[in-house]
Amino acid sequence: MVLRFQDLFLALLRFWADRGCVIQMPYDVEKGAGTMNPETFLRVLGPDPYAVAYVEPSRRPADGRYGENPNRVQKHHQLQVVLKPSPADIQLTYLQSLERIGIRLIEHDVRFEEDNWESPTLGAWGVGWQVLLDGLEITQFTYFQQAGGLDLDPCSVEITYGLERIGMFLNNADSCFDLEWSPSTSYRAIRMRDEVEFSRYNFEVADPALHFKWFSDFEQEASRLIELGLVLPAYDYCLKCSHVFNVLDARGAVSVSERARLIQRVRVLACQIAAGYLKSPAQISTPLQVPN
Amino acid sequence: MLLEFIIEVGCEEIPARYIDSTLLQLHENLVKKLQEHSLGHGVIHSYATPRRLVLVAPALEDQQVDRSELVTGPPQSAAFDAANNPTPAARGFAAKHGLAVDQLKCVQTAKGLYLGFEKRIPGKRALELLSQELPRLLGSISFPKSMRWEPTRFSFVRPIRWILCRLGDEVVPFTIAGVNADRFSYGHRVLSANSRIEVTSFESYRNQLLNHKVRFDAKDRLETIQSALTTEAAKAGARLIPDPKLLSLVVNLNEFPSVVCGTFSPDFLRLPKEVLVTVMREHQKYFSLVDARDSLVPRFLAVVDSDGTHAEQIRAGHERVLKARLADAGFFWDLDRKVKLEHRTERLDRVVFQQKLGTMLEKTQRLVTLTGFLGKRLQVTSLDEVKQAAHLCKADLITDMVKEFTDLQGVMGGLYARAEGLPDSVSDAIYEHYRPQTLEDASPETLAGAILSVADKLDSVVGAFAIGQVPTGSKDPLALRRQTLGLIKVLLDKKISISLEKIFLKSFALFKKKATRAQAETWQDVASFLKDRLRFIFKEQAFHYDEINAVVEICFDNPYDCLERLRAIASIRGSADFEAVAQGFKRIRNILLKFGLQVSAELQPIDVTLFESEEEGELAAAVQAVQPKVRKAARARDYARAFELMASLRPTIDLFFDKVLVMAEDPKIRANRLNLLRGLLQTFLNIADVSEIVPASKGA
Repeated sequence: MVLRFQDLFLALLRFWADRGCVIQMPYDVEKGAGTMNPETFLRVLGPDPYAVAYVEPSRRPADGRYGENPNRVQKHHQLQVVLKPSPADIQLTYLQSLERIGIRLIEHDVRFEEDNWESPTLGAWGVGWQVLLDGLEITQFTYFQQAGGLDLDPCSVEITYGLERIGMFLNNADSCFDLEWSPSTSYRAIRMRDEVEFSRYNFEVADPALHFKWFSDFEQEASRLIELGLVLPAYDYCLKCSHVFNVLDARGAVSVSERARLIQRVRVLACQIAAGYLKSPAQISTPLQVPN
Repeated sequence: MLLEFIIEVGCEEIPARYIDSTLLQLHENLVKKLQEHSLGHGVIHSYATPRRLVLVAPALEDQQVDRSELVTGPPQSAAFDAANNPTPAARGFAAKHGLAVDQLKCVQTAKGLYLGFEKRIPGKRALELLSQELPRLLGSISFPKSMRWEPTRFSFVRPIRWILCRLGDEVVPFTIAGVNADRFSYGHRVLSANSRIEVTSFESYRNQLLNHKVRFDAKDRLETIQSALTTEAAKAGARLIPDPKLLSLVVNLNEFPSVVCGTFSPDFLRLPKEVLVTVMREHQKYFSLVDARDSLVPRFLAVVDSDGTHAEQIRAGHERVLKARLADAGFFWDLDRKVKLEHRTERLDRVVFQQKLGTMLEKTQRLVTLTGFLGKRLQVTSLDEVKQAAHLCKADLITDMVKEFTDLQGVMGGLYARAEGLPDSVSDAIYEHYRPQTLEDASPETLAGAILSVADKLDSVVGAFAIGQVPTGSKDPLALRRQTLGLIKVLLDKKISISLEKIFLKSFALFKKKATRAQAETWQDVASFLKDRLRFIFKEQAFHYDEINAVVEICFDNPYDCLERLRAIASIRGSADFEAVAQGFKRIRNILLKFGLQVSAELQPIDVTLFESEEEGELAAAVQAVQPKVRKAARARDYARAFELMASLRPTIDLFFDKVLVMAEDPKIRANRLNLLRGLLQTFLNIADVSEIVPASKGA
């Protein structure tokens, strides 16, 4: 069976839309994971129920391999589902979603192995598993406990599908570049140049001095906006800090002690933004309906 | 009446490493609760899988035994008036308990005579007690990391999704985390999807769960896995590399295990065995196989949660994952070797060893000095090679392989050193220098490896103590206890005789201004820390506590020497003569103590003219005769000989105590006798304080 890359995420989005999720778009600021999309990071805060699914192109500059490694890329695609509060039958629903994309579970070794997620930059953590399909990690499954340093009540559950991994699994492919994206176009055709150029940029070309300056500038702007109660714009700059940091890290421009300090600075912003988000009257006046 | 009790707490997957301890807590807490309530319970069995925690009590009493309790009212004196009629106090007390005054009796208490009665308290039903206690019991389990997931904010290791709880024919009613206890269980999530199982007894539970592809007893899974591993290894014509830790982990990662044997491309055998085994174990939890010559074969055994019907497809999946993992490892192996360890060492200035103690480069520099010092003392011939190993030993911390597999630190450095063509003594020393990781782990085989291992651990321990980072209670973030045990173990295993204080001083000096504490103060703490570890190791080696007491205070500074003395004591202590002398020494010590005399104080020459009896003279002569022999034996570390000499003094000492009164009235005579006895003790006490030895009759 061949399931094209786009069919994969379309099927999963359809599946979750049918179960009441708002289907959202990727957020238009660079980020390392779907969790950093405000649709997750901010929506999990506070009491209002919410259910959302979206694809998030996720940038991990240090994972770039110039397109030469079949499994590692500096930009991969996560399909993110967040349900708040977490439903009691969520594991079952998740497994049904795998059946939906053609994985006959009975024919496989399916395991939920402990993997607790933590994001030091977001002041966030949760407990959960990596889901292994015949030994391949295809999903990160997390019950959020804290975000922005705040205890979450109700707790949300986050399901993050690794689309490339699942695509390779379904197609018995040894390389993600061998996947068909659409009937006429391959993953390689769409993504290879991206991988080569960004790997070069992140590892060899990015200007560390400029990035350090950007980090400080973005941090300053975020702080100023937090003061003004402009929480969402502030969060954009917090995300930019995080991405700039990742580039510096990939570039090998950050020493170990410096590393901890930079992470701490982003975390301070994230925590202030989370607190500010809950204070904002705009958020309270537009409660989100939980779909049935 | 006795009833069968069963509870199954159905969870989302509990992390494998928590399962055993969680089950144990549940078991212990249930027993405690039942005992608190005096509810007879007989044996209680416990079982677990990642998705269920199960307790079964086949014979639980259905009810507490009725009991009675003495209730006292007013004192007898205030209960009746002069005419012997009950007072209002007595009547009030009786009325309050629904009794007539003549149903009360007079009871003797510690405070005197009181009016009272035996109140009968009917036993509660077990069902009622359990439904009260079980929610509390489940709420009291502790986990290293727990979570919340539902509106009541109940905290547990993973979400609870069902509870089966029966006592006899009834469901024990309670609710926890929004889940009501009921009479249903559920089968394997994938292999028996959507199965709801009504449970009427443990017997029905056992049968139905197996039918629904759940082996709920870990013992059953372990046996299944072990036998499948053996069979598959035999089929492959290979031998399993035993891995008990991995085995105990995989037992708790499935509900219905089977084993598949996969292969990987022989091309990957170009990678070191250590790398292949680690990739398979750490990333994929696979077992490795070797042939008759102990060489790895390109196969692996994976324990999977499946009934074996789709083994081919599952095997192919696992093979594909492993292929990608091995390709990664191969990439690291090739890439890492492009940069020489020498160049990597220079870049250790960016790796923090400990915040206050600086970088790994600084540590490396200290290790070069320290190994040079140790090497010279131990008369190592290839001193330069030991120092070179020290210089390169931390370089692998910034290789991609070690970043991916931290367990391979040291090992990779050694392999890369070998690949660079460095001398074997250098690569072996680097390879081995983290050993031993535990007391069961082997010490380095080469002397150079041993020296580097000791230097590395010493530097960590001394550095931490020098800045006041002393382990307390369960807090030991730098694993200093483990490192110290490792350090001592190497000295013992490699028969390295060296003064801990001297090497401490050398190591301490290397920290220069980084130390925040004074040298003497630091040594005091380090010394007592070392002593504790040394005692621990000796205890693990099955020496008796009195033997350990006899030597540790005297010679902990040189652990290997300490061990030799200990062995000598342990082998001679059975001898009646030795034990008698040891007892005599104890007696002498007590006498000296009475006179406030230090054993070790300087001796006055013995005045033979003050001797009153033959026995005194004989003892003095014997001590004098034995002294040079003992000294010679001690110098040669022939402690067995020294103790034999000690034992040989028994008749002389016995006679002395029989015939001579130490507490002579003449102070001069007495002082002379005490002096003689101190001389006797001094002859031996710098070898071991045998007065600590407890005679066999008193049990050691």
